[in-house]
Amino acid sequence: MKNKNISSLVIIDDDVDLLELLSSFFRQRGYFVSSYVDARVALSEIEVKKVIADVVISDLKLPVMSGLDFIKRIRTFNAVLPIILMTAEGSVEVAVEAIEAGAYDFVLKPLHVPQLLISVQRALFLNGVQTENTNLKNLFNEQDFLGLKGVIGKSPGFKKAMELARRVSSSQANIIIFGESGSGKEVVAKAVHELGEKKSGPFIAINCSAIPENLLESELFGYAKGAFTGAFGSKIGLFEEANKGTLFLDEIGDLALPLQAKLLRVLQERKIKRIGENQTRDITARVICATHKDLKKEVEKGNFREDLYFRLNVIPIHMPPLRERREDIIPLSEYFLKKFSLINNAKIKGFTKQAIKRLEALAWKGNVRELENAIERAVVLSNSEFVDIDDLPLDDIGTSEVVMTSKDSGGAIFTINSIMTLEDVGKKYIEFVFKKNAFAKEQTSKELGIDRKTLYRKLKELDTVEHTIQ
Amino acid sequence: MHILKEHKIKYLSRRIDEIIEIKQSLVLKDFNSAVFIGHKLKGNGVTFGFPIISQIGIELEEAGKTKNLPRVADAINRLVEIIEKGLKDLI
Repeated sequence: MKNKNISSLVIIDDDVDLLELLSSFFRQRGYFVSSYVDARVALSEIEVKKVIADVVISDLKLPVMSGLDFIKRIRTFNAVLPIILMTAEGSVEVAVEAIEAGAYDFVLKPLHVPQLLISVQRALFLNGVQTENTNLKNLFNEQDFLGLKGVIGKSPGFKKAMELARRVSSSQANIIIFGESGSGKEVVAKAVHELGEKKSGPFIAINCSAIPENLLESELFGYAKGAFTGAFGSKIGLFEEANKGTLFLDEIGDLALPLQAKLLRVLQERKIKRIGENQTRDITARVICATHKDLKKEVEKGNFREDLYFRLNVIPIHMPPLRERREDIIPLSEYFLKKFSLINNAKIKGFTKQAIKRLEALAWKGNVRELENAIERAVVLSNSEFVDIDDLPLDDIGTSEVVMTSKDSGGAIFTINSIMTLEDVGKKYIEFVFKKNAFAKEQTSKELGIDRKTLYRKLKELDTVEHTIQ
Repeated sequence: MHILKEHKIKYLSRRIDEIIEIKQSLVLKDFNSAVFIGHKLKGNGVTFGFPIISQIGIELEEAGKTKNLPRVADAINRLVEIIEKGLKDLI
């Protein structure tokens, strides 16, 4: 068995002298060479994969099967294998015929062997790019659970969620997906879309918590020209954009109450009005919502409208966190390894036994998203063919925290963890310094190196009880 | 490109068998071997550091195609000389 990193050449020539010379030349340069005097033998061995060929060098004029016939036969089962033809016939017609038949290059005899080497190197590069491209296409077209691409899992919890998604995909009932951040709620929503009647339409996803309330309204419903300052033209909203398709509203639990009322009306009437317009428009998009929050509790707290809750909660689908479906950790890890190896052009074959043990042992509080990030990091950092324990997080990166305090902090603690965003870290730090300085704004702004005005604004964003204390 | 001495010796030695093959064919008035071997020499002579053999190959192929016996014989004789001299120099 040859090493995967060594390029394989198949050389075919009935001229034994040349065959030996070329074999010796390429072997000295680290190639794995298989040589043949008969093209038929080479053809059958390549076809049954008895011999691996990254590039083929063949004479054009061969006694039984010509180089051209050889190319034509190869192309019936391998469309991309680069074949370099050698010939003493220097006519343009022969060269054109060879290229038309599918030859990658055409070199003339008497051979200039270094020139042939350059041709081989270029062919290998081309073959590498083509193979990489094909592998990437295959990966992203790979059909997994329920015949859907990128839907990976074998645990009972995952299967139950996906099976429910399949069953409800053909209905028009409202669906709400519950699950922790990063657990794959969007994957379920996409599955419902792909398996349902709306699959030929668009799938539009929006995270309700990521967009400020006033912007979210115009994003969802669109607006008419002149509806508000800056509305220089009209804009269609996501409800209209998702027509005949699916609109996925993620983190619906974070939707502001006034917008909840508007969403409820849309779901009841299946009509929308663009901001600043009186005309109503029918919507045909299927709406799927998701949240990481316990909406029942949010209703009790008064943060979520009860009527909307009941309207949405017709068919709830629960996506279990990764820690409750540990059987999925390794299949998902293997999928991400394949994906990031291809993207980063890293020749990583798999995980060591210890790495697998660690992957299975970690808590993955950040769920599949955290696992994906960890594997991407491991692929980038690994310098061997197998991802080892050292390439993986030392402990549970979802829960690992960095705690900072100081003698004069007055009990204030600055805590960050690795799944916090930079914005969150910044807010936490401002909070820490503010508390440390006993809520003295002058001192806090000085220590943070920002003016008082900026500090006021930041504290307002923080919305802490403390910042109101003078 | 530098060709190893052992490759050159092997190359020249193998030509002797081909000369015998052409001669045997010519007895039967068969010029195909001359054409085929001439074509081969045309292609590999220069590669092994013997441009003169490529030249003889061209003449041999042409003479074989036109079934010109005196020209074929002349090419063979010149080839024998080159092989003898070459082997003498190398061994």
